[in-house]
Amino acid sequence: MSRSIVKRLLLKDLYFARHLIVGSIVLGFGCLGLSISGPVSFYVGTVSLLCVLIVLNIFLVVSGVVNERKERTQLFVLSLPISTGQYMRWKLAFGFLAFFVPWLILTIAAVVVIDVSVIPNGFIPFAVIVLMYLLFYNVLLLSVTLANDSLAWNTAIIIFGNISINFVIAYLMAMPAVNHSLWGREAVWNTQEIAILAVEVGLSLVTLGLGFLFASRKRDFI
Amino acid sequence: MNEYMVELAGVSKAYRFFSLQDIHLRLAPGQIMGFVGPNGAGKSTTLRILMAFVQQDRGDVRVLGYRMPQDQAEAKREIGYVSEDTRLYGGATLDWHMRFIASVYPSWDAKYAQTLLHRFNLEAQQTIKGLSHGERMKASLLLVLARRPRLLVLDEPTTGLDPVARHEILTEFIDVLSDERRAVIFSSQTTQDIELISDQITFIDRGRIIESRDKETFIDRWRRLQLDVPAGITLPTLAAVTDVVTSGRIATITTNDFSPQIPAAYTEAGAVVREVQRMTLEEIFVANVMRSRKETTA
Repeated sequence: MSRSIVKRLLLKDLYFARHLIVGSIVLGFGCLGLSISGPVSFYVGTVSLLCVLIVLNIFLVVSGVVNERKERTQLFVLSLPISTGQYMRWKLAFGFLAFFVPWLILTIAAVVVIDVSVIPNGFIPFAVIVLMYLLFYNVLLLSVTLANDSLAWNTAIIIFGNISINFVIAYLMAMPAVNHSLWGREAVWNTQEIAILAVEVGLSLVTLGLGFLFASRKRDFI
Repeated sequence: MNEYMVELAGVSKAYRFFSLQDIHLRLAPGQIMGFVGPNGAGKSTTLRILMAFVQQDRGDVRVLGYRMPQDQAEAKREIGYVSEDTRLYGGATLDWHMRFIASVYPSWDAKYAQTLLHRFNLEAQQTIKGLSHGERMKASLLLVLARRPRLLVLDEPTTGLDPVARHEILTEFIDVLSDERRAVIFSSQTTQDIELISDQITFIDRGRIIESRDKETFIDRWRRLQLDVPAGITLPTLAAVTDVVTSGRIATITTNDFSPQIPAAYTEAGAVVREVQRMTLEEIFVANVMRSRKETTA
């Protein structure tokens, strides 16, 4: 019975987040469309795409976790026949998937757009690494928010995520291994790029795992 | 099968500025327990432990025979919980909530839900954010009652409600108890509500249960005596007396274990018993809390 309730709760959250998810995908496609119409619009489009994903991440966590806690709808949900551990695992799973699916669609779309447009294909590894960092940011924000009731921690991670993306971009651009292949006609994955991507994937998995661990151990919900 | 619907034994929970200490409670089927206490007494914490929203540091909690928090998912199938703090989803309609709850609980009684909708004067198509506080409470209760849980756990469900809404809700609780296999535990600061519908009353203050009995015993045992004490007369010290207030020749005695021997003892000492009054539940509650606090600080 609990499994079917978790499924219904997932559908419930999907129902409430549907406009946000669909809207982000549509806006993301709009940004990608904009990015291929010229050098200036390329800059505006890519920055806007990053903004769309950052806003989606923050809104999903705030509306799905923070507001549920703050507005006391959490009590309504917790009174349903699920355990508090199941509740936390479901929140983590939904928060991740609700971001991961639009992220994956837009990441694939970005790669396709770069491939078929005049943008050099050398941008593909760079774009994937930057977008992968946003996935890590989602996992980090979600895990910390679920494991910790403190709004201060939540805000700190949002500030960290929003600022650190600039440093990640600047760091990548300054790396000779990335910078040299950026303007190439072919997408070439060198060892350093693969290593960075592997670190991002590894950090995301570890953070997600820790999130599950801490979420399952939480004892008090009010 | 456990004979009690709710059984708390030696339950404690410590926070930085508050602790719930050694709580013992039992609720039998067919009973309504009123849980009364001032603000911050520990009513909500106790009920949240009972629902496993908060885990006890020590002690055993059994609800409908299930161990809490271990078996909470199974137990919650048969528990209906509504708190004054509970909020439904503001952007969704009551109808959406009804369909959602119906999809989760096979016991959902659609006909009874319609009856309650009509009785509580609610519109199913209205969004929750458009409802008043009283209507929101009634909506929350409808969602709980229409799935016919065996145990209702209600945390201050009548707080902030107008007298008509309070009456409607209290009447519904009494109806629930027409099925003797069910039970209700509800907390309130309003002793009138508790007095109206409860069979059992539990007083809690500063994280401790100070008294828990059936309502009739409370009403029967607590009395207030008005005495005329002539000059030179010393009143005897009686074990069952919880409070003595003197003003000139008049003494007001409060007892928590009244028997005819008490006025007789004062008469014998030379005082004149002017009146023996029954106390309201509110007066009993206040006297009980004050006595408990005096004992704690002594």
